[in-house]
Amino acid sequence: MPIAGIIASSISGHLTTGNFFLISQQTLASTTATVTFSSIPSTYKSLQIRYNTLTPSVGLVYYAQFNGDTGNNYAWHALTGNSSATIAAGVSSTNHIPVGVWDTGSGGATAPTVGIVDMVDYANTSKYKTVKSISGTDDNSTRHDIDLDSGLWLSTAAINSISIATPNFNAGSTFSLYGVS
Amino acid sequence: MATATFVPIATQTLGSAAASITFSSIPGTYTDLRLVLTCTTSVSDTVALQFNSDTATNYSYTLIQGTGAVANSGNNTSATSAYIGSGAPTSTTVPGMYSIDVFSYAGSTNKTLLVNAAIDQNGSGDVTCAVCLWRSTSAITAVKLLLTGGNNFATGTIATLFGI
Repeated sequence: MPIAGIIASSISGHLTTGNFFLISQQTLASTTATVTFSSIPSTYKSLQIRYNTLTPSVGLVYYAQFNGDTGNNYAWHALTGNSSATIAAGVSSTNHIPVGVWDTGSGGATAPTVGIVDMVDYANTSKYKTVKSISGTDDNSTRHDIDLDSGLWLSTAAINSISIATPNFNAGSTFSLYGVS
Repeated sequence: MATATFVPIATQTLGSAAASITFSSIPGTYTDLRLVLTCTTSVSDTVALQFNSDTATNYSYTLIQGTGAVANSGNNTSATSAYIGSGAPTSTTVPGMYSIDVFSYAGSTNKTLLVNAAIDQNGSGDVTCAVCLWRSTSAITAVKLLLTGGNNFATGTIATLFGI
């Protein structure tokens, strides 16, 4: 029996993975604040976004919204290590889910921030949608965070659009959306 | 349906103890790499990684770790290798599991990777997530797994490299 690619792509194992499909990939040609994947087919079991980004700013959070929903229909928890402390936080009834680091340094133009965002059972119309992500950045100086985030979108709608935003992503940043069958 | 990806590029299973495991001639045709290591060692040691035979101080990392009831975070700068995990188990029946994602490995920016490490020895061990930076704009064509204390990976250690 095939092992779901979402598992293969999460942690470990020596696996044969023929069920992990690239749906769409965006490499930014110019500075962009929001990246959106739309018209996502509902034919997969799970989705995964992988990103490699550069940013011009400091103090950034990357956050996700689904289907253009900007209401307070999201909740999240985060666990962060910033080299000197471990920090946990949680927020309910808010308008986004964080899916990227909470850095406060300045090395974003040369040290990529990367992340993996998993959305399981995204097309199920009888359940809310749970999201998990891991992300991190390290610039060999003052900018270093490793983050684990969970999120909930309080909607039973199938996810057909995903937006990830921050004040600005630099040109050359890459976002890939995968489907797991 | 879109084209399938997440392809095993190569697997190495050690037939005898070895100080390192190297994947070379990595094609530049994927977006990301995933390296999965299941290992034991003869002496508990720290697992690390180097790219393209670079042994200079071009690596840094930040981690978050749970060890027993304690959570901690730490970092290192200008290191000679990327941190993958501490305390590889010495029992031949209790492997440590390490998963390393290397993003945009063939691109022209510096390279960032994410690490998950699971090491449990029924009373000791840890769970670790880390982010590492290799300060090089070269495409990654070779990956070397090693133990920073100079010890050997034990027979039966398995490493698999995937392209995504």
